[in-house]
Amino acid sequence: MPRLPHILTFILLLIPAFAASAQEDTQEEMDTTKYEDLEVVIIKGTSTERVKLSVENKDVIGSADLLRAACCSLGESFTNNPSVDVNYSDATTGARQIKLLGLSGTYVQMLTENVPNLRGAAIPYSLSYIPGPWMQSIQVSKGASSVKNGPESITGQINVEMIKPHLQDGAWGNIYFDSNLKTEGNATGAIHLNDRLSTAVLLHVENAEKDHDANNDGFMDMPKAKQYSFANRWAYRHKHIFSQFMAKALHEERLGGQSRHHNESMTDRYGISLNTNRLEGQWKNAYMLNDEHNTSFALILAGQMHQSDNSIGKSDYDVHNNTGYAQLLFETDITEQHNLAAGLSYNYDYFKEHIGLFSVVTPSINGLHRQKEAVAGVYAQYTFKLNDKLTAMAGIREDYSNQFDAFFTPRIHLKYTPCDWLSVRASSGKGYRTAHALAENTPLLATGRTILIDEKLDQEEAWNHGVSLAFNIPINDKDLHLNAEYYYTDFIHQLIIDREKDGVLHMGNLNGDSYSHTAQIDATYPFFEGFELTAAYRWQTAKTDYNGDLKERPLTAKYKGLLTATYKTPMEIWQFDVTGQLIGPSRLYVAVGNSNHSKPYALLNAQITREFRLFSIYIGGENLTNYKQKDPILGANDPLGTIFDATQIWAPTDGIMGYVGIRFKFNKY
Amino acid sequence: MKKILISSIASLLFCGALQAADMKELVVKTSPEMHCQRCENKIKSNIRFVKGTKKINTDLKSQEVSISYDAEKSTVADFEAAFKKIGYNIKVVSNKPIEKK
Repeated sequence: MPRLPHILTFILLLIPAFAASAQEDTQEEMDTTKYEDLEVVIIKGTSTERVKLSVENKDVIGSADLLRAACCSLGESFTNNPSVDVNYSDATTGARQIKLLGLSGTYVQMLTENVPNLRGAAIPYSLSYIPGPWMQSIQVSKGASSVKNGPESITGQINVEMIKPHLQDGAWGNIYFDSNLKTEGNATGAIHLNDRLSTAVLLHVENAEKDHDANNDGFMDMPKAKQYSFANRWAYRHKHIFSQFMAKALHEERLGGQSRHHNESMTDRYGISLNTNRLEGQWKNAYMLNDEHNTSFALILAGQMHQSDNSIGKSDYDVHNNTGYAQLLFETDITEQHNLAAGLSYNYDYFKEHIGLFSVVTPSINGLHRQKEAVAGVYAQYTFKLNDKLTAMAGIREDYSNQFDAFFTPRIHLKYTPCDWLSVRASSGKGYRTAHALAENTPLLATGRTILIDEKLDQEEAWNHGVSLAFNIPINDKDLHLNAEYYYTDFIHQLIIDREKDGVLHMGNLNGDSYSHTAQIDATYPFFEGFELTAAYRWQTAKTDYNGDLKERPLTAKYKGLLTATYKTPMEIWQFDVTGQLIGPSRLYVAVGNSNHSKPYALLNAQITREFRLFSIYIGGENLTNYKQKDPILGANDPLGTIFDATQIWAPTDGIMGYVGIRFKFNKY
Repeated sequence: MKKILISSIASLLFCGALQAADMKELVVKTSPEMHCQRCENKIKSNIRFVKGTKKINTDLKSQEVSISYDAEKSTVADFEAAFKKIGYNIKVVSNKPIEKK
């Protein structure tokens, strides 16, 4: 593989005095409090926009954009975003996964309020764990990210900011119903107890009870699902102290597999039962030492307990994953031009897995397995800002894992703004993560293939390099926002999911090359008052060595086109949203018909919203082109055969869907 | 393209409707005063539901709220009531017809 980009990274790292604060960058579009490390942000421009001053290539999906589609959960919040793809992982469990820069969502570091979250065993169904109405905004950073949040970001970071008690006062809620008979309700309330203390309660209930098999393959198109979640937040701020606490509990049940409608008499039904219980807590504390220099200390503590009992056909897989996280950080503006951040972090992961796979080559895979990993890290990030022309950020971190010993993470970002209408960004950096073959890929058990897992999996390690150009071109007194970007990810070590051989699913270490190239161009222009159009096109290629044969990574679309339009009437009483997507072909690991590539297809979503003073009504449709993957389950007539595979999914498995919802708002000002 | 065409026609019809309406501009000062963007948002997001409201501008510097409205659909009293609902009293600075161009 070409090593030039790696060499360039080190050269860039040697250039002194290049850095910039990752937090101060957002001030133009956001009102960021002094406690910047806690990223308390109020989105002013509430629709999707690129953060102009950010040294990172960062999109913000604001609260207004989250209302442009059904947005029942985090997974449905990227409908209008050109950079993030969300696909079903398989045709039976309803699991969805993110793809960023043409690579799996496991390489995107997920954060809630800038604290690592939704890791390990939570990954497969994590996109359903944050209800849409609980979210205030989402920040999508592409490429190498700040070292502050740990070494795990490879293709980027997605940070979810939730509703904040100290910024809200009142009650909100929504009720949603769709043509798949899914019902959902959310209620949120925040109250300011006094000038210092505020609290919020967030509730979510959903129920999808439809046992439907539109394609008559004997399997439910989507599983029945129930979810209950509850969160309580507290915020305390007084003079130089700011503290935020959040606790969350979630219970989810999914039932899928062969439909009872078609298999009433069947005694040996292929059933899917997934039960998840999850507890989360995070506590962030900041103390401002010096207002003038923004000098602050912060202590962040977080923990998650995730318990998931999975029964997929004849295979059982139960996993308990407990995580503890602590970070102590210090940050100061030495002068207006120089900023320094440094910190210590500690992460502890505990996995207990009961594995009972139906078809395995190595019997030792089955049984009880325990794994503990403790990672202690230290980091420093130096930033430099020269007027508004040059911003740079260089970070290094050294971590020690009891599983993989010491490892070093360098990352650098540069932003150069030669004139008002152009910003050039470049980034380069390394990322590492520990792969958990089954915990992170549970939906892959919906296969009749024999499962083979390497005894010792490497720590995943990759470089990411990227460059982007952002133009703001004035046309007719309005700005055309044009963005062009290119990213290259090169893996040194990686967990490879190899389904190239018939009848075998091999999860093992990379032996050879694995990389991805992604190029994207997108443009947004407000043609007239209230009407805005965004067009985007992304080309991507990802290749991996499978047993000495360099092949396209399967189920990765070669291109994606997106066209999204929104129109608001002058007083924003009515809003109309339409989004169209064109998804390119993907390589299939099992040829269908005579082709080993899927066909390109188009998707269309639309929504109309009517605002009233105390509530709004929205009605919309998803997949209005009614495009469905034909026969998504291979060998559906013999679920215990080696041909059976529900994981070769490249398009929607369910067709057109209509929905209606009502949102309530009782704001206290 | 079709959408743009439809929207353009809709805009023309809307402009036509504006021409026909008895448009006025109401300028008021609020009590308590507006302090921040949150106050501005509160006013804009609520007053827009008064019938016939076409445009609202808030100015923290001058502490004035300018409202373009169709006087055949609403009166100053309607705006007074709407402001009162969200905790503001208003003092009318001016209420003049908008000249048709």
